[in-house]
Amino acid sequence: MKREELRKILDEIDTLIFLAEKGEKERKIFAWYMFVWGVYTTLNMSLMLFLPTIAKSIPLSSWFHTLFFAFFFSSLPFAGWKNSSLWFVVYIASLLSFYFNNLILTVAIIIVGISFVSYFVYGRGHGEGSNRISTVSYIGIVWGIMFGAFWWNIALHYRTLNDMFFNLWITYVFGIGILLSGVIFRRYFLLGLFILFILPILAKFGKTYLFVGYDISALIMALLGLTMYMKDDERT
Amino acid sequence: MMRELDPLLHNRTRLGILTLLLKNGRMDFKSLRDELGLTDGNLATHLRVLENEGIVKYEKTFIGRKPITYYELTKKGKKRFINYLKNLRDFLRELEIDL
Repeated sequence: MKREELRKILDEIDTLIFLAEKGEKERKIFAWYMFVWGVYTTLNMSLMLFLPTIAKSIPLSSWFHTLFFAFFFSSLPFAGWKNSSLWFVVYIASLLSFYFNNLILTVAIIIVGISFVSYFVYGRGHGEGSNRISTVSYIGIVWGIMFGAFWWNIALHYRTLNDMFFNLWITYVFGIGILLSGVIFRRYFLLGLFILFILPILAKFGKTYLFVGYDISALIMALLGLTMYMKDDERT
Repeated sequence: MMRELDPLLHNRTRLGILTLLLKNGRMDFKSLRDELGLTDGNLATHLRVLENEGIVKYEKTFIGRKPITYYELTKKGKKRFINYLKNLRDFLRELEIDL
């Protein structure tokens, strides 16, 4: 057998291994992502309930300051610390406008920065074949676009927005994201339905009830993510 | 060092079945038979071996009144196939060095 023929066979085998492992690897990335973002939301929602000053006020806002740590930890196991550290470049860039209390500029920097770093971390950081868009990537991108668009709307119109409308609107976006994630892990579909139809009922009793429901949903999101991640771990 | 290749999978027809199922996710009996150019009996024999080992699973359904059987790889089967491919790759790489 010639060396060229052997190389051809080796390439075929590599392609098959890649195909076989791709689905599992992506599910694992997704499960970890759901876990980290579930923890981020649970933590900040708890702060909204117990220490609202830290959660909401500028420049303290924990939602803002922990955002980039969530991005960092969500990509760390798969993209490595070098690629993942790029999230902090966006953090530093957005910090300036954040402290000047310029919400529109901050959100614009965050959206552009996150899109740019996402390409490096998720598009290039995983090596061969990762540039191909899969179902998992599509869902991740839709999550990002929905929240990006939400914050863009808020940045432009927050002065005229009613507080409860804001809370219900973010709940709706969160619920759609979770519902979409049900394509990968079916249990998220049920959680999405709960968020979309039960949380608005809780909101009827007051903001605190809505926040508690949101917080519990985020905790379930994190726990389901962790369960899926561990389960995948046993398999591979 | 010579690596051991899974003897159950190290068979031209079974490798063909596994490769097709891996690439397509799920295939019916007729498509598998036609793609591999096998007889019904031959394909059924190999599929039974793979089923008994928990490498593939099947689902019987109907399209109109016509029964149809779909086959797909199990998680265990996928893992075993990946291991086989990795061993084969290592074996061929050793061979490449010797060439």
